[in-house]
Amino acid sequence: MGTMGCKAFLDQLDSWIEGERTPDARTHVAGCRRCRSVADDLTAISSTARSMAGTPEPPAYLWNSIRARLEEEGIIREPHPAVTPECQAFLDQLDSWIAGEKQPDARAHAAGCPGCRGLAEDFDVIATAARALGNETAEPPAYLWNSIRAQLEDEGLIRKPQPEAVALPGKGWFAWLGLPRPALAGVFAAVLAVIGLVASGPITRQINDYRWMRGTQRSANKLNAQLDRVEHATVASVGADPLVAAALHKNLAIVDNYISLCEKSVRENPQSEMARDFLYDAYQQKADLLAQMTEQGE
Amino acid sequence: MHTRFAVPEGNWRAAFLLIPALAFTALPASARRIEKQFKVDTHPIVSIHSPSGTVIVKAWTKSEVLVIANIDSGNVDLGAVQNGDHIDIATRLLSNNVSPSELRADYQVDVPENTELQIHNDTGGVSVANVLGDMNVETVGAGIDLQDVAGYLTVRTVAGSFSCLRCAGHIQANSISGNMSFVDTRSTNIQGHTVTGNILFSGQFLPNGQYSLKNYSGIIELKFSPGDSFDLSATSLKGKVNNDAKLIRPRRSDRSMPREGEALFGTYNTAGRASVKLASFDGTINIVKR
Repeated sequence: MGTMGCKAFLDQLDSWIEGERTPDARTHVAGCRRCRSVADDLTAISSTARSMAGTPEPPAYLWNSIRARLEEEGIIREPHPAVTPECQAFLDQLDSWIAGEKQPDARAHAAGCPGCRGLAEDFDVIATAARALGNETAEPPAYLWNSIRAQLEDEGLIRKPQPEAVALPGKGWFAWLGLPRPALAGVFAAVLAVIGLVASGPITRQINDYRWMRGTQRSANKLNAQLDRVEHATVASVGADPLVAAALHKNLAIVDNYISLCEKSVRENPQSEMARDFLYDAYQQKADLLAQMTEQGE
Repeated sequence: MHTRFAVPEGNWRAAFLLIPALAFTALPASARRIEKQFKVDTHPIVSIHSPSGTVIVKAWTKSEVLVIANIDSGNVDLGAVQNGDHIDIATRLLSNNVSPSELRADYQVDVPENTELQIHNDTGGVSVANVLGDMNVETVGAGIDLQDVAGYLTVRTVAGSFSCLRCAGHIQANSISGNMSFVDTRSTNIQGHTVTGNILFSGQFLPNGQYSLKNYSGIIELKFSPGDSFDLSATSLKGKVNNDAKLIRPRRSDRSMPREGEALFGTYNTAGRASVKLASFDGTINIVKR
């Protein structure tokens, strides 16, 4: 893997994304699967960001994929009309707009351009939500990140975190990307801009709740159906010892109760990662118990 | 006010040690004692399948496996076969009409200390001492008591309690309604998961060790000493977290930390930190001084 370690590589990731790739860094990336994955993802995001500077629309594949999802959700608006030089100027100073510095000419343009107004309104919604969260920095709220990340993972645009964790600088989503916070500023703005451009409709907690609920239900229904099938086939055939059978049935009832309480908790708060985690644990427990009961019956 | 763990440590140990020992020695007059001995090398694999009765396994210095079975019923017998270094011990049925009560067989097995063990016992009790090889223990209602063992330990019990005293290596324990206790452990990796049972951890926090304890309801009690060093994450979604440790809170919030229920994050001392994760759905988590 060469002399450069993961930490050293991540420290100079900024330069890598800018295209300044030292032989050491190239050697490290060639030999380190995780850093290669991070570098590939960020290079892709960075290219998207750069392409947006020329033409303020995301690449077709990205647009089509996310637009299809948003249409499915019923939250999409009319697309941005043809980009004029005024639109370009407005987009160039979008950072200041998000920061609350709304120049008179930008206000005037937004008032007359429905596309840019929609975009600006969306950024305002995101910024307000971030401030409401009370964070030290204007990061979007966790549920929004979760939603964005889930969507991007679903689309295959970013990879899921690798299990073999390397200690990375930064925190949260940034830590997952493995990028120091300052270096991510541009990437963050680019991702946010992509989301802002395509999600030209209000992103509400209700929508996210609905989407989490739907996603969880989709997985849970499949699991439930499979477990029910196994349970019907298993329960009657549990072994001869009545004490053992009684213990197994009693514990199956405990697990079923556990599942139903976790399901209730997920219904009440679909975005709760912990509730979902406990629910999947409960399914796992039931699957293991049914496997044990099957063995007893054999 | 803390809700303290229901069973004091000393009683746990005494109970787990005494019950299988008494069961083994207090045999009915009609019991048959059967012995079998096998020559093995230093790393044999011993599997024991006993539907009912106690299983006591101890390490000794000989390169032999000695099996002593005490069986009441004439309808069952000791089945013990050797295939190379693999010894397979099971309760053998001599009739098709064997009642559950006749299945009882109590085993005492002496093995070399690096023996790999695979034990299945539905009801009765399993006790293993001083064995350093990997082991896999599965029970339904039988309690599991491990002492001075090491290796990769996988324990699964439906309703039995699990006690691990001075265990080392990697420990993975799973139960539905059984309690768990990890006392004076020297393990770098412990994962304990029970649905409705209590969990007690009063072991060492080794540098870079990972300790994850999780239940749905019940009490998780973690005991620490002033010299310990760990990063702690303790969350109870619907229950309580009681903490006696003076934690250094993280400087900045971390998105990976759950913001739900009652949650506690921080670092206790700084050198050689272990990672401790405690999670409960609606149980109580107590972090208390040892």
